[in-house]
Amino acid sequence: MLIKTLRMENFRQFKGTTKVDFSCDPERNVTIILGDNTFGKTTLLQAFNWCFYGKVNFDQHPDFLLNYEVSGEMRNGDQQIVEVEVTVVHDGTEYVITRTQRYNCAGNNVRGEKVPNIKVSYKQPDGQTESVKAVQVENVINNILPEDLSTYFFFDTERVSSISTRKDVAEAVKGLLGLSIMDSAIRHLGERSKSSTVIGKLYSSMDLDGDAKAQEALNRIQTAEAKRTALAEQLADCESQINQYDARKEQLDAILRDNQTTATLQKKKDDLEKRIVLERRALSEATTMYFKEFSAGSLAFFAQPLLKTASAFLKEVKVDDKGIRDLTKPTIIELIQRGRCVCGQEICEGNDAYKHLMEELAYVPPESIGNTVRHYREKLASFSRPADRTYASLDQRYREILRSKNRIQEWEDEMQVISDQIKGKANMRQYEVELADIRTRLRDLHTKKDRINRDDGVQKGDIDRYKKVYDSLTAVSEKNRQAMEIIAYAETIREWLTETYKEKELTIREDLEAKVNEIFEKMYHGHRRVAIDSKYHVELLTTIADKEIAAGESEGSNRVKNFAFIAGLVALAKGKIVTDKSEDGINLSSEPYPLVMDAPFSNADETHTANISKVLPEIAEQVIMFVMQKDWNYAEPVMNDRVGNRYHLNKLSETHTKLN
Amino acid sequence: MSNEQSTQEKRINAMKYKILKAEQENLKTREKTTEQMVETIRRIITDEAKKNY
Repeated sequence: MLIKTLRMENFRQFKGTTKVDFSCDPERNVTIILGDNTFGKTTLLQAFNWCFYGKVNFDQHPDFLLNYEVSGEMRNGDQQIVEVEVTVVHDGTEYVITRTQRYNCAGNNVRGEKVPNIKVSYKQPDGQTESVKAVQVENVINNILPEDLSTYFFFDTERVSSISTRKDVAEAVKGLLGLSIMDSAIRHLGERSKSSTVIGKLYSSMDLDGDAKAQEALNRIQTAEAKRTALAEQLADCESQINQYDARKEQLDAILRDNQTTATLQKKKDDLEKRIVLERRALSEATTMYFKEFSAGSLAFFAQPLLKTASAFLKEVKVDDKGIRDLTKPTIIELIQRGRCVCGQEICEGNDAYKHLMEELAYVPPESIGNTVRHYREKLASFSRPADRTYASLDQRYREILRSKNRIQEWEDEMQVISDQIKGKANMRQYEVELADIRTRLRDLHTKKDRINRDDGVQKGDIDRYKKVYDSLTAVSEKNRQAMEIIAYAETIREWLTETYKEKELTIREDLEAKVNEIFEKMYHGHRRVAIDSKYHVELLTTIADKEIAAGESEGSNRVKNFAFIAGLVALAKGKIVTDKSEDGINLSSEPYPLVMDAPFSNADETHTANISKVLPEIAEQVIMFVMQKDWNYAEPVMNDRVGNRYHLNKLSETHTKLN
Repeated sequence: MSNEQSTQEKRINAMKYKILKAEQENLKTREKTTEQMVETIRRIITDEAKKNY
């Protein structure tokens, strides 16, 4: 950027129109504006700041820019303007930046409009002037000179004591030397965990879940297809068996149909066999019972004639049966000897109990057998009673035995007849059993076939369903593949930027330190060295006994240090800064900037002033200085040859300065 | 170097150049917000990835 002109209307003490043409000649690239303190040097610098960014830095009434004399002459209803117009050449195009603020007088009070008007126009290649759209004005100005870098180029020497220790110096250095470009790109590319960055957004756009679902759907399809294959094999096997059994069943049906008589006879024979087995069992039981009953009742049965004779005889015998049954003489004697009856009655000779017992002796053997006879008759009746049923029972059993034997004989004869009839013919029974078995197997096989078909239907349904899922997710998967490809590119670039940034950052700091030292040596007449730390803070070092220590800084050395630092920055920025030295290296260089300096030599001695004056025009594209005459006296001998334009500030009053 | 590798390299170089130019421009103008720059870079990469060199 080169500054061609500055035009001011009523800006602070510059009453009326003030115009400055700055030298853009590369050989005579210095414009000097001479003026003593309070003549308006700082106002000139602030005019640039106000024009570009709408900001000023005045100690008194910073919000009131209108010339006091003009303001004082205003009457109610009058309107005046403050305007600053700067013409610059940037990137080969001439821009005119104009900022205007209207001031109105009302109630004997002059006030400026709150929002000044800003316009930017530029000359097209055909010479036509084109206005920049209002919304783009700020962007265009920042494109010409970023505001955050402006204080390094619109440099207020007296107000900025040490530019090299400012907090924003690192950002400024990075901005000027191209590092901010990479830094910003790295931040925008970002990383996966930062969802608002390029890489974070790309990862977020991927449907990772979709991929897993697609794979799962594919697995399910493959599994279902494998199951269908297995089911098809089972079905084929099942149908093969059904066919075989169906064929055998037809054969058996035909055999049985053709041999129905034989089958009937066979069945009858089988039936007779079963009946004979049952009848033999009944015969065996009846025979067993017959002998059991005979054993139990035969004695009584065969003793009946003798017993009947004895019974008839005893009927004729008269017996006394007054005695107590089974009572014996020894029993009575023992009771008498004990002296007490079983009922507890005392027995003693002569008492009633004794008498009764003595009487009872007369009715028991051996004195009397009446009781014994009576008992025998009772037992005889009891013994003879079962004999009455023995005969009938044995007769019944015997009849049963005979009946069973007859039946068995009869059925065996019948079986023999049947056997003779079916002799030499196939056993239909075995065919019937086989047919029944085949029917059962066929029923089971048809059940199995139905189940296989149902399972196959389920698998087929699954396949259709998961194919739809897979097809829908395949589109997602393709999108993911594309996203992954973009992510790979983004991550490659970020890695490259990160590496390059580290390398360039180190190189630039080393280069800057070397350049600042080179310039510092030219400017400073002493033995000090400049050290630049990782935050781009600058320190002066001096060597004592082979050891470098921080040197105390005077106003003068500090001033030289600041100039050396800025000059070093400008010198590096002027050079081509590329990402790497290959043919693909990308240019990160910024636009060369002019140095606009207010009172650059204040607090510098004559040697430093002369040195600074020599170095700055060699390094910067354009130098604009607002200098006191006394300082200029030291600078002029070395700088005069580089001065293209020269102005003097003529202070007419405290509120009116003219530029000549 | 295979054609594919060469193409990849050309794409990446084009991406680097365009991204840095976009950043350089925006650092001067501050025209685009962070979100817009992220989208600009994403578009640069996406568009360049589709190109055949």
